[in-house]
Amino acid sequence: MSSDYVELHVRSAFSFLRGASHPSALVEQAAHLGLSALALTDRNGVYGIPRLHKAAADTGVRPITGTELTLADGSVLPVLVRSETGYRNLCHLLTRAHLRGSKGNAPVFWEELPEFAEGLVALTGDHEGPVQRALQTGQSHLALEAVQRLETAFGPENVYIELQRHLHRGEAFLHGRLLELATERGLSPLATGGVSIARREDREVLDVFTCMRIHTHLDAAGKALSSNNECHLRPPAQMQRLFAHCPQAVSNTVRLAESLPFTLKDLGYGFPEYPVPPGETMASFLRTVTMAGARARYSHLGRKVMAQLERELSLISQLGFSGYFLIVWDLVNFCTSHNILVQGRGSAANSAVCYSLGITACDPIACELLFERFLSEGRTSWPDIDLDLPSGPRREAVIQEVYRRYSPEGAAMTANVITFRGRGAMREIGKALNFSPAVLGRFSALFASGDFPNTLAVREQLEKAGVSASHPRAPAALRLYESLRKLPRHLGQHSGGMILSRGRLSSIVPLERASMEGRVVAQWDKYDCEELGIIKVDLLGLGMMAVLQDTLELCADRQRPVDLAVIPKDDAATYALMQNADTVGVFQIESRAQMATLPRMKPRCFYDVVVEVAIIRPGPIQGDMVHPYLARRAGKEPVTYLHPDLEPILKRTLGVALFQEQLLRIAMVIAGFTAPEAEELRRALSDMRSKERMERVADRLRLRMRERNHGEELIEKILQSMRSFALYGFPESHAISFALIAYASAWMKVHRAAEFYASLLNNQPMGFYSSATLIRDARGRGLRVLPVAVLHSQWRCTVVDDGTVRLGLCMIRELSVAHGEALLRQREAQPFATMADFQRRAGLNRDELRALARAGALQGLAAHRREALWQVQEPVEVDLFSLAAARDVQAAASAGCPLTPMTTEERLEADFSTTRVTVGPHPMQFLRTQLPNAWTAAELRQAAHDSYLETAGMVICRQRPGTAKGFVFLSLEDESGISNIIVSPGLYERHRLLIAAEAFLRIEGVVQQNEGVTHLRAQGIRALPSTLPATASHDFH
Amino acid sequence: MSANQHYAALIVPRFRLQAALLEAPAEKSQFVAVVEGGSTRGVLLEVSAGAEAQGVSAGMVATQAMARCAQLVVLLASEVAEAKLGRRLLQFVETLSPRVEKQANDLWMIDLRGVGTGVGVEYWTKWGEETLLRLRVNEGIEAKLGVALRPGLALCAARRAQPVRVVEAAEAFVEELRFEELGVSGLLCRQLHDWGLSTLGDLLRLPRQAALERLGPEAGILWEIARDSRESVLRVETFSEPLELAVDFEHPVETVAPILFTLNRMLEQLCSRMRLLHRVAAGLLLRFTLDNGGTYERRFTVPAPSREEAVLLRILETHLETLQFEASLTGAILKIEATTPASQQLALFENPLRDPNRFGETLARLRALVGEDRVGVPVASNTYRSDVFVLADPTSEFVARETSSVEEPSGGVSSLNGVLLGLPLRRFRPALAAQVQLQAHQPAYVASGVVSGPVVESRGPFRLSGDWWDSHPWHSEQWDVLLGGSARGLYRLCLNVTGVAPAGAWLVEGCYDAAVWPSKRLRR
Repeated sequence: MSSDYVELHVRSAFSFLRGASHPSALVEQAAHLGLSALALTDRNGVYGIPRLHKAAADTGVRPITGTELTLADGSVLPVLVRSETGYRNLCHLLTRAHLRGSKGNAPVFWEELPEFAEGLVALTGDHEGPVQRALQTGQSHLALEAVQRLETAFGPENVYIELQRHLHRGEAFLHGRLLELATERGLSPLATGGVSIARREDREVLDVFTCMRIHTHLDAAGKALSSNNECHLRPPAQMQRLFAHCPQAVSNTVRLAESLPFTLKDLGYGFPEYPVPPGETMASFLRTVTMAGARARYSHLGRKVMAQLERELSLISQLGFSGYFLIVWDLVNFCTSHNILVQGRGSAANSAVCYSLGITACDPIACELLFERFLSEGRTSWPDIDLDLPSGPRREAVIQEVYRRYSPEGAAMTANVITFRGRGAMREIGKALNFSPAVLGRFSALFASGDFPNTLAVREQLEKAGVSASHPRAPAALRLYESLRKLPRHLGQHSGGMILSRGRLSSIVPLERASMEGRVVAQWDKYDCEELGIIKVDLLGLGMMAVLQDTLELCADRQRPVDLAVIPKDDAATYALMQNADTVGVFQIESRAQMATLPRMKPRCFYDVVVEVAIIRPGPIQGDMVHPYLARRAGKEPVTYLHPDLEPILKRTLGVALFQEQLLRIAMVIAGFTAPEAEELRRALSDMRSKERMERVADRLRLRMRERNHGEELIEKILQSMRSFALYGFPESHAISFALIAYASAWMKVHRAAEFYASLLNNQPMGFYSSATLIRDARGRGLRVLPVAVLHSQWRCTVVDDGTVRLGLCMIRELSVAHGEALLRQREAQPFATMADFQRRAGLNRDELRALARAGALQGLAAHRREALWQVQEPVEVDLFSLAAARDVQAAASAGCPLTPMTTEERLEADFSTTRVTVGPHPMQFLRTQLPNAWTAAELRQAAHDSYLETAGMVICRQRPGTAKGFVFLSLEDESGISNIIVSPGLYERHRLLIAAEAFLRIEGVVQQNEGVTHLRAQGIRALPSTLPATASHDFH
Repeated sequence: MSANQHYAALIVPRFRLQAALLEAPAEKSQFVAVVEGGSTRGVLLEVSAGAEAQGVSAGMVATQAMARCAQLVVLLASEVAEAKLGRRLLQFVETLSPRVEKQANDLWMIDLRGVGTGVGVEYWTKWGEETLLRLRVNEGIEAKLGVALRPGLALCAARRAQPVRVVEAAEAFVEELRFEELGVSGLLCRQLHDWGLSTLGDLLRLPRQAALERLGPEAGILWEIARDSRESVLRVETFSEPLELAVDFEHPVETVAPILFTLNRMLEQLCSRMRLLHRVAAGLLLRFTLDNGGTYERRFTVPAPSREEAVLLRILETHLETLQFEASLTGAILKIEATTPASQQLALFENPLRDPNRFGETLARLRALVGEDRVGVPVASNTYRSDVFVLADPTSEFVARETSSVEEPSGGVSSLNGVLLGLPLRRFRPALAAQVQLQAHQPAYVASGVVSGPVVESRGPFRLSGDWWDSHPWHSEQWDVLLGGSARGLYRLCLNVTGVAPAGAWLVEGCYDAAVWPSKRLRR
């Protein structure tokens, strides 16, 4: 496609509040208008460039890379990339500017422009540009100076005098001055749109963005808003009309665009090389270490294992991935040598090489995993190896090690593009429209929570929040809500994805300082990086990994060590725990839905755990695979296969496709997909962003199955499975990795309960349940949980004996870490003898002392909490000579404490306010007298099916899964356990606020007993008013 | 009890809610709550008794409150309404005693010396009930009243009142008081709560010295209260004789002269009161009753607050000169809005207006002639919309602020205006309706009642639009045209595309200064 005009100055929404259209929308509109090319010049970065290139590939519009640099004097300079050198220079320049500035501030100095100017073209810019800014002062010589500085930096042939027309007054005069400059300096004029919106109607979003940027609302923004909606993309003919007085400015755009051939294919990215010993290549060294590892892993290197290893090593070498495996292996070695628990997951678990290298813990040959899910000949992108690490400082140590190894600028976290969504979007819109905070608060409260789509139409929700349909701004709010959604808001950092590069990563993508100290983040997110072939290593923090590592350390300290690698996989007690759904605190299988499935699934072997982990996922649920699987497992329906050829593939999952690997195999067997086609299917299944991609592969799959004369029914069923998996597909290898952790945590809960619970409490918040619920669960399993005590507690929770856990000082909210540690040092030096001794040496402030006293942590130093309070509030004036006297005074004071001990209820309140947990009675015990007819959670399990009764409890979990057709699941905790409530969509809508806001609920309904799982299907819901404290609930996650 | 030693404390429970209800009388639901206007979390400040019965309480998040009480009406707290309620209360308590003290918006302390002649609990209880009834009936305000021999005790009595409490046996009474009722601070209250104490009596049972050492000096006040030893001298709040006079005419009046005479007499009286109080009039409120049953009311601002009868009368006279009533007048009420005289050192900081009241008088005449909302200093609005301004009070600070501030436009060439002032535009107000013939989308001929002619040259369109978020978005196109023929000159045309009435119509907005044209080319 060629045209008479090319747009070379465009800000997209990736200019973060300075542009209002997504790059894909800009490309789409450019194609519609007949533009042959489009340059994206976002502010201070190339954030949107990968998406521009991706969208452009489908439309025929040629993408051109550029940016707007913010100069230190405040002017804004657009530059375009001519060559690979120019791109590298631009990335280096942006990186340097970002790393020296604060977050969001990237000043470029005029003096450094020449150093990075090669391969770049400079435009003089718009009203923010250095030249127009000078003209605005009325001093033409300053404009001339600015042009001359640009010429000096970039060379005269690479500087263009930019002209824009937005139908403002004064433009003709300004063009006159700019053209005079161009003539005087022999520079070419260049027409641009100064585009901030794809279409006129996007101006509304742009104005809202302006309000957000300058922190005001539309009524007050005045002339800070755009004066019209003319900064949109225009067709060539219109630009020619607008620039009839200077036609060469339009034709120059085409000439300039032709001289900017750079594309992202020319990135020049290379993965770092692993330094191998002399005489070795990376491939040979990988073979050496793999074989060494295999010999350690496999007791016997049989033919099958050797064949698999040979096949994998050959493919890895052929694809040039040897260095990648070595680098990940080296990272794993770093973790192991620094006593950091690590486990590879993701598709890497399908690889025998990864298993041999110690990256993964599961033998893919024994588990019959599909290697093609990990690597295949058709693979163009790098394989995906994710490392699970203990969350917290241990993972940070690994991240910092990666930065250290690849410094300077060789590694970065991938970005996470935060987009406008849901209530956040409406909150910003409402602020701009000057709605009252109360209205916005109500809108947020009414918003559907969790991943279930909003069941209230936005219009209705606005009305309920107080903005009626007749409100003059309601239509604008609704329009904006639709327009704003999914546009980028700002850049965050990915939770664990790191990218590495041979040489400097900053020549591939600009790097920025992250908000978090010591972190550097790239300007692209993980999808962009993957599209561009940049290798990501995910260093993911898992709370349960930290729990397991802490548990192992506690076990070792207590002389009953455990080796995770050798814990028996057939432990009956562990499976009994799962079958009874006694899995609070267990990785992955502790959620409400998992606990409802476990008694029906009745896991009996490790592979059952793998299935359990994988089956309660949106993919299998939406694909209607859960119930057939459970029915077949229970022998209620026969195991059948859609086609005889599928039996070997689906036999382990009873004829039901549960894993991505199975779908790939089905495609290869039934449709005859080649390895590259299977790879394309894998990418489609993994790419949640693109429905179109999945549909393209589905079309091919359909065609190939028809070619093989398969029936339409079979074809449609297989395609349905594919589409379901495209949403949230779960690979078998991934499930196995998770199942290993799930099994290990369940085993620990059974066999090392004290250590496990202590570690769980030390790593909160994590998982589904609060510390209070975990303590109740521990006590339910016969464990004693001792309260915080300054005479006995360590900073963290500790194990007293096999059946007893002591809460740590860390549970006291008021106590600072430094003061807590100082206290422990003093106690270690000499135990505290009296309250006076404690007060004198612990060095705590009065608030901390009061908190400890209220929490009962001063037991042993005072008879009861109030006596402790009485004593710690006694002013102590201690000097060298009056120490003994002071002791006597305090002893006398304590002897005469006039306060009465706290009641049980008062202790509960004090426990929750100081530690958020209690080792005393459950709050529901105090409310029980108000509920003569309510059944406890334990009683509910004994109730007859279909009986109508009432229960009550403290809400600890509210869930509304996207797959549950609007049903809401509540977990109510009482002194006997947890009861499960199902709330129908209608009932939820009637009591939406009640359910979301009340801490204690009374619910009546019909009991459902199904294969050992008890539910109460709610028919009436009431608040249970109480002033008692409640634990924080896990809501709508 | 002796009759001359009593104090009363008047508490208005749910003051902010009652104030908000004054502003929204339609919301007379029994389930009402008020939230802070600026609070993002919508925490309830006060709730009605009906709502309380449904489990709603102050401090609760609005959404949770709505969950408990679906009919709950949530009102925003209003400072204006609270000030209004405060004024009403002041007026009321002034009728009770010459010595009153406002301790908080919702709390007035009243020195009852010289009030009433009776003695004993029954007498004061009856007095209190009658007082509250009067407050409810006349002002629509619900309140509680406590009477005691000491202000502190009266306050505690008011807090416990249902709705009147007269304290006779002070010692027993204070012991049952809860700390919250005594207004104990949050920290001390929490400490006492931690100790398991809830009433003053509980505290008194502790060893005083030991408790004080632990609780700090604030706790000492509690013992003083218990001993009833706190004396209080009331600060007298603004009040005295009301600065308001009313007359009923013996016969209906139809001409201005007798009215002015009466008003002059009233002003003399009011000004003399103001001299006694060392106050000046910042405003006047004039109300006439008409013999057809209607009323006429008008408020006047006194630009330079004064207590000179002549000055104030001139303000009234200027207004009355042009006034025509639909019926005869049967009475007049004149009220002074008094303020403290401002002190200024005229030699150094002389008022820019030599005689502000004279200026005010002139403005009043102008207002009378052209209309109330047509007098002021035009200040350009912060908008791109053409010729939009607000009329600011010439005497207000707003004018100085607005006219001195320079708006920084966000971008576009409009920001070049500082450099590109161009030709001066003489605006036609109102703009001239015109018929414009177009050729190739450009104006070719302009015809209007005043200016007509062929377009020799044109520049444009210059597009402007805004207010898209409201019910009155606007979009206009401006052209600068050089007309030939008899109306030869440079004009600005405007096509109101949408939003500005009449939509789709052409207007000639003005003509550029002819002294400059045509020697210069169009440069826009």
